[in-house]
Amino acid sequence: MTPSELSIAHIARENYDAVFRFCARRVGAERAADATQETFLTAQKALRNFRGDSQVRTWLFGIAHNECRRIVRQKRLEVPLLDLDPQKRSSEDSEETLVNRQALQIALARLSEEHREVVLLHEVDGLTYDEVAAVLGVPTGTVKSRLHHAFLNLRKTLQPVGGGA
Amino acid sequence: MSDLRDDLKAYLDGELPPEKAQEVHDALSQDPAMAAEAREFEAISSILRNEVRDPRPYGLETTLMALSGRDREAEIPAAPPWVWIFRGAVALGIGAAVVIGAVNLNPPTPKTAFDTRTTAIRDLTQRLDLPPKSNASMPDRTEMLYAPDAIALPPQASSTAAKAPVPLAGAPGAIPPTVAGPGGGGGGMGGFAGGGFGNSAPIPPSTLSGHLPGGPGVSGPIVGGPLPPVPGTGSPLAPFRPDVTPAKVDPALVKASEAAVRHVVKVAGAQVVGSSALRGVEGNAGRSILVAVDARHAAALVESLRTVIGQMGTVSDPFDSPTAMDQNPQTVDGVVDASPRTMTKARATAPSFEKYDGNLPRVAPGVRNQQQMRGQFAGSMGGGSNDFVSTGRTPNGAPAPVGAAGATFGGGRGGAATGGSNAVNLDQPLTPQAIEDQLAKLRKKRTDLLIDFYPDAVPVKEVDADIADLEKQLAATKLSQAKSKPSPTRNASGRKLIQIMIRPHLPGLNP
Repeated sequence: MTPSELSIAHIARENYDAVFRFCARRVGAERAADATQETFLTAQKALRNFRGDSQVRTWLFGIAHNECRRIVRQKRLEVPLLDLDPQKRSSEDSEETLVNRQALQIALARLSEEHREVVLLHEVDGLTYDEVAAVLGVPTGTVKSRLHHAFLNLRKTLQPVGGGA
Repeated sequence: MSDLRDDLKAYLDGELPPEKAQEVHDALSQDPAMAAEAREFEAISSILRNEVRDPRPYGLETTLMALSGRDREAEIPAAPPWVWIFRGAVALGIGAAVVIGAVNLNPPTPKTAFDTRTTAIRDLTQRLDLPPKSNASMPDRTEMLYAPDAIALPPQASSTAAKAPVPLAGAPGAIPPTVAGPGGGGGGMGGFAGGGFGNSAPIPPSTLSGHLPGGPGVSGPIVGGPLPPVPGTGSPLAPFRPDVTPAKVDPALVKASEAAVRHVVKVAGAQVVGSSALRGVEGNAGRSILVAVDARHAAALVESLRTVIGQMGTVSDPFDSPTAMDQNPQTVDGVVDASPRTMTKARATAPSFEKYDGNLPRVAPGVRNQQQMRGQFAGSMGGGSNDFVSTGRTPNGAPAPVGAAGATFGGGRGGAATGGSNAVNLDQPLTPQAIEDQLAKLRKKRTDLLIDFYPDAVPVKEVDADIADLEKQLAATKLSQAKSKPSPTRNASGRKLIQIMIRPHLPGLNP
């Protein structure tokens, strides 16, 4: 679909859930709907400038990322803990021996904003390095570096629980 | 090896080129520590990718509506600049024409009867002493009361002042002067005056007529005779204007009326037990005065007060219709000043008020809102009667007949109804049953919402907030009902409370 064929209503229907979840992980579920709506309103205004260089979803995530940062600054929100679902735990549960999930939640919240963002975008939202770079507006190498250091920090924080390497 | 460790995460994510990936693969097979690190990275990644709970989205419809609204805005083409210039020029031309037309076509308005009355009241304010607190000045007040020259009316008003005396002592329901004794403070207005001043001789009604200090200021018969009725209304007052807010009053007018009222109350041997400002939407809207008087003399005093404040205010007995009041305390006609300070003062000045202890109806702040005031004025005006409500009861409890000045008597709010229409109360509180019904609906709605939303979702929280508000309202309503139960001693007291509300609603003061 070319940009000229895009209609904002169609885009919203296709991507609303993903953008909502994206926002909910950054500003909390209570403010996610507002952030998502603002994201699409901004997208509506910027739609004519969208060249189609990236995927629509990546473009929307970029807008949502800025919107969530604005809300966090404006409302002085604390970083919400990542909500882990125990029912989704694998039956083998081999990771339990290595990673304490509660400690992981806290460790993730304690990461710097740059490191946490790349972790969320890549691991949770499932974006590739290039897509993460497009969302954040940084080179792909920077994403790779940040992700590596973020995992080193997580591992370092979790070491006493997991036993370390 | 250090460079390869930096690429470990990218290797695990499959983001390395094949050559680099092969190097890292080889290093992993040779370095157990690096392999352990890789396992930990994979464990963390696995948890983050697989176990994160996805919040359930909501608000798509709202967003689509917002987007469609923005779409419609975008569809309206922006007008070119010359269109705006043209529109501005047209608007300026129209405005200038209106201003010029208004200046040329609007002649100066002649002085109206209202202006005459206002002037008379202001003049009276300057000439009338406020009721002195010491007995030493009583003779002066007596002289002022009985000597026509003491209160000189404006020339245009005094010419007809004596033509229509107000039948104070002759008012229906008044106690005959014969029951008045020296200093007893009883027996019509003549008896009041005699008792108040220690004069054993009852004053003939005709002597009092036309000389009450407040009367000349506001009452038509004393100032200048009955005003010509407004065409189509049968009332001497200007027609009620719903668009005029009865909230902005002339302070001098209120002050003059209050002085006159206090004067009459003092002369009648009654006591002012409380007074407070009436608050309107724009500030001071008048004055409320609570007066304690012997029950036998209440009707006569009310009649006198009516002539004093005339069409400027309301005289009511907040305790006269306890049944209606108890059913809905907020419809009590008048704002009862039942503040602790007033109650203390009432107990100090009127010992028999102890029987009212705890039973004064407490009207919530703001109950007498603008709509109520408008409604009452509309009712009184629409009926063509004077704009006041009296106690409506003679001392023996019978309804008082219509007064000589054409006033309609009634009890409490019912009096307003007899004058035309009842007061409008837009702040009717919900009954506890209605609140409980709403609560049940909201709780059911919450249960339904929980099927689709988490408990911390905004829609559920909004319903929770509504439920909390209603629960508070229900508790407050029950408490209010418990407090407003009728008192068995209310009508047993020998004294009555009369509330005088001075609320000038004069069109000229409310532009």
